[in-house]
Amino acid sequence: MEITLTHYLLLAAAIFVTGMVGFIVRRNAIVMLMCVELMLSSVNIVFAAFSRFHLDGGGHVFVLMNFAVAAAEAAIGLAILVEIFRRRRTVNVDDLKTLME
Amino acid sequence: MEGFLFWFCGSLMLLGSLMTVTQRSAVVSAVWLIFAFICAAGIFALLNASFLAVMQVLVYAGAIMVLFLFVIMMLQGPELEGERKLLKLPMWPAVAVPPMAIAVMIVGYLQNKGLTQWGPDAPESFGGPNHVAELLLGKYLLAFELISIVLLVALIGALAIGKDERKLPWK
Amino acid sequence: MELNLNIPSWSDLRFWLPEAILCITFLVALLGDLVVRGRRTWVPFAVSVAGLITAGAYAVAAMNHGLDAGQFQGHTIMGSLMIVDGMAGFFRLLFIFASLVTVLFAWTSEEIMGKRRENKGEFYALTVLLTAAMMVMAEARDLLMLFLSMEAVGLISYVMAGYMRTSLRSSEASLKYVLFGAVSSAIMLYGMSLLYGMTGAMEFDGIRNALISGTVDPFALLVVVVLILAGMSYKIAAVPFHYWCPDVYEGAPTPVSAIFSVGPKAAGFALMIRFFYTTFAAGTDAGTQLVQDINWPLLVAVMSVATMTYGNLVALRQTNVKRMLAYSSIAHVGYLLMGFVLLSSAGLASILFYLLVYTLMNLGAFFYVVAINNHLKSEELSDYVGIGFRAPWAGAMMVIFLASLTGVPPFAGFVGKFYLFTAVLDKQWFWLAIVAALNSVVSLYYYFKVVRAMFLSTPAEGTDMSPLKLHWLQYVVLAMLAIPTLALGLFFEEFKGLADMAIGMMGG
Repeated sequence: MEITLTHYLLLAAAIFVTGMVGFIVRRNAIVMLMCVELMLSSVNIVFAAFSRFHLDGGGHVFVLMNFAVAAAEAAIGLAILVEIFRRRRTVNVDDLKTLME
Repeated sequence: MEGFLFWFCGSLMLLGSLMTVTQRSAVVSAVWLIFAFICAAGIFALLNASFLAVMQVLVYAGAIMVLFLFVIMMLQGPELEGERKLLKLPMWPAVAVPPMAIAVMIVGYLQNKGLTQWGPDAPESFGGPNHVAELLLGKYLLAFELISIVLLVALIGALAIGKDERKLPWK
Repeated sequence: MELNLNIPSWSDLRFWLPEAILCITFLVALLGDLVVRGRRTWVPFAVSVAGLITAGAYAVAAMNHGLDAGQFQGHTIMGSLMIVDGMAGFFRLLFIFASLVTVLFAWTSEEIMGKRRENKGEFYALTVLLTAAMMVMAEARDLLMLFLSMEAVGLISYVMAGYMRTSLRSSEASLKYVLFGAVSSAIMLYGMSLLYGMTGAMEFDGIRNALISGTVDPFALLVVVVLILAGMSYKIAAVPFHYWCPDVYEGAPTPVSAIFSVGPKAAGFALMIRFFYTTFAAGTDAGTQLVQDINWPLLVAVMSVATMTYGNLVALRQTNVKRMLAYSSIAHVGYLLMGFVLLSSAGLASILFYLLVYTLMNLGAFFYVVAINNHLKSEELSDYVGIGFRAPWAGAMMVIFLASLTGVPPFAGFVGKFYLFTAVLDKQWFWLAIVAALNSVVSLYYYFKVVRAMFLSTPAEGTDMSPLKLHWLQYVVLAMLAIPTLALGLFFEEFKGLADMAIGMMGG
């Protein structure tokens, strides 16, 4: 069977949904951040696939920028997490009462 | 050949992401995520994005995930291992079905418009370092500069957030 | 192999001077703070003020030059990624003004400076950089720049909310901010990637041309628009993406909340106006003709009504003034979205005008809270009893801000709301106008609660009634905000004309 654009898009959609479900059901803030990374990487696949489809390099540049932004977001998110862990000894968002009201 | 590689990398990546979401231990999740990212690099290679494939391994699976693992190790303790209350497994489809339906519908509609067949073969240089460099330092130079500011903010921010006020040298 | 670099002309960068000045100011302020750390805390403050004033002067000069030439249709910068046009000029001035007064006021705030005025130099540096990033948000005309500038503003906000921890609650609020911010930008990115796929372009022009050619499936476009709108709504804190807003505002130091409640929201609106107006309305007054299959007006109208109603109803129950102002800012986003319903130039110009007014009155109200917090160490309404008589001038100015926020004539808030209402009434959206009017009445109640506590309630026996001594700079800044709030209510045509021109001079 020939692999078409749809295959790639479906794969990306499945991964995006997996990441989103993970973000909703998980309670560990680090794992929640990892689920966001999963969503971002599915977006990257969509960009790369369409880039190949249109034969336009713009999508590749977008993916590279996405890498950098993901790294920056992870760095800030983890720094805040470490800070909270120092005080509360937990990263479970259920224990962080103010977070989920 | 492309077909086989797609199913191989794609199914392994999906497996990796499912395991990331379902494993209770944060360390195991992170390792599965690295696995998924390496498979994503394979997908990029299939899409003629050779430079992205390399970067995916170096930056994503390498740098970013090491950062995650490092933080998990730093915060090691029973709190991180398990989660006392995870949503019950039968409930998961209820969360997953609506977004899944939307995603499949979009893809289906895209297909309607004949967006399924690849165009002409990509030129040899497409997606290689030279091609990306020409765009990154040409048309998208300003974006490249902006991302340097974003990274600088992340650096300063992580320092400012992480510093322990009592141990600063000037205090 | 030889690279074929096609570097765009550097001379374009002269239109980008204010942003460049701010970036340099950021670095100088940061380095200056490191060098003189802990001793001369005024260094980053002075550098930031100087940089903001210089950048502001250049921005004014550019605006004047553009207006004189009669055609500020815009200069694209380095290719097609950004454009400096009349609208960008308007927002530049707005952001610089908001940051400047915030920086000035923060200098007197104990929450920022600490009791012993120990260093908090990062606040000034980050505020300057936030200004530059917001300006880029108003200038982006490419999906990539749009995303990157939003992320830049987002990351700076996460840091500002996260590093000045006033309490445990504020740390947790900043975690919530980062987590949900990251997920909402991922959702927006998914929408952008599909939009790129459907249109094959990342510049707004290219997207518009693809939409005109009619090859885009309307249903897929609707889903994409909803996904992108989700990310943008997070930035402006519109229902149902508002949940971070009250917690972050309450947890952050009040000057930070003040700039959050104005700057990133206005930048979010600037970006939404440019994105949706140039792609969907084709930069003309034809409204949403390109996307007739999408019921765009209804989508936005429902969001607008939900946002203002939610904000106002929850604000009624608040006993903390800062939290109440946070909910009131959500309600104001609802009013602002009203101008967005029809994507007409009249509606958009009234958004610009209202943003100007909102900046003045909302910053003023937040700053009053800062000034009082210096003395009372509290933002509870019950502690505000009798406070009006202890600092009568500042109290009087607070009454002006609150009355203007309610929308009572003759204050600026009334004029702003009037323009928003006429924009929707023109197109026979009566129910929307009626709901908004009812909302304004509801808001009167909770704003008046503050005034009542300040001036009308009798303080309990033994309450300290000694006069409060406010810093002279606080009076100056409050007057800088209160006088325009009054003046804009009476002499508004000049500035409404500016807003009209800014929209008219939006380069496609």
